[in-house]
Amino acid sequence: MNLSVRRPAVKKIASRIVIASTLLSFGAIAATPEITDAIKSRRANYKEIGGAFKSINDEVKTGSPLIDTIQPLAQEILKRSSMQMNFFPAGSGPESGEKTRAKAAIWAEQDNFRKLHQEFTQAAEQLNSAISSGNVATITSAQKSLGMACKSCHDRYREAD
Amino acid sequence: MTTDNRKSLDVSPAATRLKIWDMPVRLFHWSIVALIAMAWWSAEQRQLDWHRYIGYTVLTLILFRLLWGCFGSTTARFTHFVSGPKRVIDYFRNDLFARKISAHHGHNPLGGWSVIAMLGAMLLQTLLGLFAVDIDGIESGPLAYLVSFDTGRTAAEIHHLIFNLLLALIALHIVAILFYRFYKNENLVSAMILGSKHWHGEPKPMVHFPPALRAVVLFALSAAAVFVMVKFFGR
Repeated sequence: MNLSVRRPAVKKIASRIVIASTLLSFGAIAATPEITDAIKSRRANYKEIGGAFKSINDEVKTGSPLIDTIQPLAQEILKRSSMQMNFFPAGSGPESGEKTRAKAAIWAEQDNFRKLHQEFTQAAEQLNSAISSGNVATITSAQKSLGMACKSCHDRYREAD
Repeated sequence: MTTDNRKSLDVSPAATRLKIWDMPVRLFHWSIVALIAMAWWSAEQRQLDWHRYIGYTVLTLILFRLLWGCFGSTTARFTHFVSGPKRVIDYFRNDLFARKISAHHGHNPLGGWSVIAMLGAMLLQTLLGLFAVDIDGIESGPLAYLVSFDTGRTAAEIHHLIFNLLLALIALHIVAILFYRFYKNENLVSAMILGSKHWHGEPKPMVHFPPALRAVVLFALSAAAVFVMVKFFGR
C-alpha cells in the first residue's frame, strides 16, 4: 500500500523537475528585449525598403516612370539602408530563437556582410542620382543594380523561403 | 474522328477498342506534364522570364480545358465525370478494389475528382503567380503592381505551398495509375497516348467527338484572353 502511494508521488516530483528545468533552459536561451526589438525593427525596415523598391519597380516596368512618384521612394530606401546595420547586433541570428531568416554566417563573415551592405547603400545612392537625371535608361539600369545588390546579400545571408 | 476505331491490336476476338480520349484532351494532358517540369526547372534556375511565359501557357491550357469541359467531347465534359458523393462511395465500395478493367468510358467517379483537384490547384497556382513578388523586388508577376509588397510576398509563399500540393496530387495520380496497371490490370497510360482502350461487351457506349475546329477556336479564345490580360493589363 505504501508503495502504491509513493510511486505516483515520485513520478510527480520527477515530472516537476523536468518541467522546471525545461522552463529554466528556455529562459536561458530566450532573447533579451534589445535583441527582440532589433529583429523586429530590421524586419519592419526591410519590409519598408522592399515595399518602396517594388513601387519603383512597378513604375519602371511601364517604360515611362513618373519621377515625382519614384523620387521620394528612392530617398526612403537610401535613408533606411543606412539605418539597417544598427539592427544586426550579435546574438540576433538564428540562435536568438526568434523568427528570423538571418543566417549565422552574417556574424561569422562580418566583413563581407558589411561590404555587401555598403554596396547596397551605394546602389541606392546611384538610383537616387539616376532619378535626378531623369533619364529612363539610366534609372532602369540603376534600379536593376539595386535589385542585384539585394539579391547578392539575400542569396548568401538570408534563409531561402 | 469516329467512334469506330477497331484495330488489329486486339488481344481477343471479343475485345474491341473504344475511343475514349480525343486529341485535345491528350495534347492538353501531355503538354501539362512537360510544362510543369519546365515551370519547376525555370524557377529553380531563377529564369523568371521563362517561368512567366510557361505560366501564361499553362493558364491558357487550363482555360481551354475548362471550356473543353463545357463544350468538348463526351468524356471531356464536367457533366460526364463530376459525380455526387453517392456515386463516388458506390465506386469506392464496389469497383475500385475489384480486380478487373473498369467499365467506365472516361474518368471514373473517383478519378473525376482527382482531375478537378489538379485543375483547381493549377488554376490557383497560375493566378497566384500573376501577383507574386520575389524577396529582392526584382521579379514579379504581371499583375503584382496591383497589390502591396506584403500581399505579393504572401502570394509567392502560397505559390510555393501550392506547388508542393500539386506534387502530392501528381504522386497520388501516379500511384493510382500503377494501382490500375498492376492490381486491376488496366493500362491507363496507353489510353491517354492512343486515345482508346480495350472494351469488352456490348453495346458500346456512345462517345461524341466534336469537330477539331471547335477545339482550335476555344484554344484561340483562351490564348487571346491571357494575351490581352498580360499585354494590356499587366506590367
